[in-house]
Amino acid sequence: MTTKEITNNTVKKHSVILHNIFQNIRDQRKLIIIIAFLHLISVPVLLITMAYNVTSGINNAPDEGYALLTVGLTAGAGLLGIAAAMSSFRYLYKKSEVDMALSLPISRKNKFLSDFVSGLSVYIIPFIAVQVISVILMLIFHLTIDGRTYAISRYGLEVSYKCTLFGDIVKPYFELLFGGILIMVMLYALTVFIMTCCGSLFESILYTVLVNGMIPALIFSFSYSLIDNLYGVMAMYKVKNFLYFTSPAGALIGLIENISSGIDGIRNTPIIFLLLGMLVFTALVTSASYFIYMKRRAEYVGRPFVFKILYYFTISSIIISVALPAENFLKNNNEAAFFPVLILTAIVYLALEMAANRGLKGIWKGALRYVLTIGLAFGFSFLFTKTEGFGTVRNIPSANSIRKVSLSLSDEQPYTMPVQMKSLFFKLDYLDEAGFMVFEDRESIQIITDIHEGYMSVYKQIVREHGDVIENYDPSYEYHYYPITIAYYYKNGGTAVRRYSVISIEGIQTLLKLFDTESYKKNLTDYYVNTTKKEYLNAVDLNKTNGDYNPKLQIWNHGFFNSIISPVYTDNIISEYNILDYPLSLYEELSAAYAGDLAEKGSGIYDEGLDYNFKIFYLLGINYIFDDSYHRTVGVMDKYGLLDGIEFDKEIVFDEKNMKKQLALSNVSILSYDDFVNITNQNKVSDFSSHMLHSEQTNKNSSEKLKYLYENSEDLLTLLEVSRTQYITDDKCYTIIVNGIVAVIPAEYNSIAQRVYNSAREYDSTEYEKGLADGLFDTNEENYIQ
Amino acid sequence: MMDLKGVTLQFDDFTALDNINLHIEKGSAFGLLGSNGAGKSTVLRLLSGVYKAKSGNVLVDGEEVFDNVNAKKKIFFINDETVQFGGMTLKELKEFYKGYYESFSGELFDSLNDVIKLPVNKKMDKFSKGMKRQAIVITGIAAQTDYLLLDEAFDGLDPTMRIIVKRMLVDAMIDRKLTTVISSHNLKEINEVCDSAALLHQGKILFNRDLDSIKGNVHKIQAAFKGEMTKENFTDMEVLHFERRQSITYMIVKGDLEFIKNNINEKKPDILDIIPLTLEEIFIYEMEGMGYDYKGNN
Repeated sequence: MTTKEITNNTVKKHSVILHNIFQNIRDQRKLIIIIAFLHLISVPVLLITMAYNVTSGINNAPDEGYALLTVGLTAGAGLLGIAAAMSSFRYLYKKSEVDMALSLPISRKNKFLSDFVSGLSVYIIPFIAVQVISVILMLIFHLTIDGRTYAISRYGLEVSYKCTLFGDIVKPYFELLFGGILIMVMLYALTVFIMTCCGSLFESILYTVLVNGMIPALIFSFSYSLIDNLYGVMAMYKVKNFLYFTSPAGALIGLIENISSGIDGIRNTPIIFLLLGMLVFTALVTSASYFIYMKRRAEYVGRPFVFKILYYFTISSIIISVALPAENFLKNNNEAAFFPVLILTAIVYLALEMAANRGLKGIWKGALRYVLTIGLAFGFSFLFTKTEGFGTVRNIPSANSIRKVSLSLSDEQPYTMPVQMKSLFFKLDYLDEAGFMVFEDRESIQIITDIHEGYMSVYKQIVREHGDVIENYDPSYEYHYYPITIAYYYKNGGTAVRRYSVISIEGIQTLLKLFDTESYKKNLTDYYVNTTKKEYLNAVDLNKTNGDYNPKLQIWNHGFFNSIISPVYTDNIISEYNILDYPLSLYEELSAAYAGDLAEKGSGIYDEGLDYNFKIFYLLGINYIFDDSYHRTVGVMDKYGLLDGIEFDKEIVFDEKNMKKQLALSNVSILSYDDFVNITNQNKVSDFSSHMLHSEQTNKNSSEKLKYLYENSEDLLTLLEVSRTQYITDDKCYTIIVNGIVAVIPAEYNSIAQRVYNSAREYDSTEYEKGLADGLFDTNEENYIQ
Repeated sequence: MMDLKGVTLQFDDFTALDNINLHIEKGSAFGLLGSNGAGKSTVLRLLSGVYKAKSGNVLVDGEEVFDNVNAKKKIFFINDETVQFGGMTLKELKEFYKGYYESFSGELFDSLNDVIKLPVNKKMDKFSKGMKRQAIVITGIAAQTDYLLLDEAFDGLDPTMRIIVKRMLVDAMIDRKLTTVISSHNLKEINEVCDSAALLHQGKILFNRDLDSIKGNVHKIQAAFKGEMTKENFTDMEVLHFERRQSITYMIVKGDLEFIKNNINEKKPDILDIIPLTLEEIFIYEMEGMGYDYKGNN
């Protein structure tokens, strides 16, 4: 064959393939119109409505019902992928078409590929075209995509401009768009696969519906019935990769979870993996379809199944999906679970057998298969439970195999470690979007696996006391309740998530070690020296632009508890306060010193009390709280004269002669445990600030309040000395809040705390009644709390 | 030429074709005869590459047909269905096949349609069955392939149209040595168009012969003898059918007419008549001779 002939043949081959594609598309023009129409009346119409409302100034939000309808219409058009596949490959189930289709001079390979492409084009191209129209509409009317934000409020439509082409919405929008296309391709590919396995239209449609539903149903059934019962194992994480990558419905769940907040805040399947997973699924299913297509024979058309494995898979999945949850449910509610499940599943199974065999033919074989299936399902369930998910429960990952760990601690006890810890780690940028603390250094990972080890010890103890395997046992009745979620991200790309609710106080104290790691110390320095420096410089630049910034420091002698040193604007300077220059070098030295002090203290910070003479250096929203033990910080402050005249000691603080200095007292509160836990009771909180409010509003001298403070000064000072800003306990304690700084009073001082609390409340109540009688207070509780 | 060599095809437990051997000469018009379910359509599907033989070879010009584009380019298969074209107009049908067959001639298609005058822009689901058959036959001819396979080709055509369509086929065979394979259970049609034929029965080829030789080789004898004659008296001839009605003996005999005449004359018949047989009768008696009951009792 000459080169010219080879070229001609290639061209001809391509022209036949293209002809086949265009011919198929042409045959399905009605379907294209329907799909395009459904897409057109969904998103574009919604956008036009929005645009009309924006441009015409009608402050009516688009009908929420229509927004829902948009979702429904898009979903409806999405489901028409089944019709596109059915139409493109109709000769696989339609006897009248098979001769014409397969006698054409086109190879089976090219026939498959071109039919696949044409059906996909019929399905996808209208969607893409309409999305292009939608983007154009968004750009024309400045809706969402170009930075103009559009919001619906109680006042109607609100539009604001960011003046940035392609705003924040663009990334998730295109992720959703691209993911949506891939899910559509998955649905189409799966339908083609099912069609190649079936020989009749009835089975093709029925099994497309069943398989699309049964894959996620089987996974959910397995997850709910078996994995959910495993101690500490979070079922959804265990099965999510099976769910996301095995069916279009699962992929849709994955996409929605990825674009929203993930599962319980853990978004551990990056969008790129999700999209790649969809592509891999499509590639595998399409390859399987191609393989079966090439193997299947024309004479199979008309049979219910060409490859019965699809039927066996589906029917078994249905039985397992029904049997396992039913058994689980009945077992939890009714001891005699076995026979109802058996009867229910037998009816379902035999009904499907009769449908597939078009009658009672082979019913005995079917019955035998049923017995085998149900036997395997229950056998597996038994084995899985007895082996604790084949060892999953007790498996603790090796720190070496972990790339990163994210940790979530319960907020159940507000003043205990979890909240404080979270706050500290948040400051240092350890937290991800969902509020999980993320650790990537080997030292921290090892600490967390050790904690995990501790949880397992508790679990093993429970197992020893309550039997080999715990099912539906709630250990929180017997143990302290500190829910913790640990998400391991393996180096090999896998993930494992555990959630435990039981641990001893010693167990959770182990977490303190996270404050002694090199990584933590480094992050402290980074945060104080680099991150906040950047913020400082930005603020200076911004204020320079505004022309009203003077880099000066203002020192507020803020009552007897602390001093506040903060940057000041020129026109805000109050002459009676100390005003200092505020050079960058001061800031840099101070930040480094403070970070050094914190690093040195590490977890020891939990042993420190709320010193009555602590200071706050306040800068750009960040509090640098320190006392004399912060020797580096104090050194720098001293060097720059920042501490001049703001030292107080116990005697000075409660010396009646110095009472004027305490005028700045703004907020000292003592809270009982119940006050703190139950936010609705906060109006009963003994809040010293209310006295201030009262005295200010009545224009009275504050001597009455100060007298009260003085009378209780010994108790207050004791409480301040013993209170801890960082504290771990599971006792019920009082809490003291000074100028927003929360400290816990250890339980052994409950009697003193109670005395002060009661006294304060009594005083408070009297003052409040007085205020009410004078008509001074707004009876609105919210205002009173302020 | 087309060849089926030792071809067997099974549908589950049912053997549709059992070790079939068939040779179709290039340029010939070949008829496939047989009752319903004999395997005629199956042979055509094998020859057109729709089916794949379980064993044996299906060759067109020496090449395997199944999934072989080069071989399939030479073949146009018209099956006994017409509903698949319902959504198309005649014009679209032409364009449809034009894209697949390089040799397709639009001019020829148009000229053939000038004869049968089918509406070009009307959806074919509005056509009668006969009109659809005409449409697909002219499409097959216009494809100008070397081989045209027709399954029950004349089904649904009125007598006039049958003549026209047959004429078109014959013209194509004469003009460009088109090889035609026609399946039918109507012997008359095969007789009119084909020069050779094979008879299929229950997945086997009972015979495969030149039609003229078939017609010239089987004879119906009507004779009266003085004595009582039985089939055993004629063992030196190949008697396909023997029957006595009173004194008249009826025989269907295969072989050279002169030899048969001489043989019977040796038995001194009072009457000897040679009656011409229709092709249908020949086939029925041939099958009977091979042990098959034409009434369907095997």
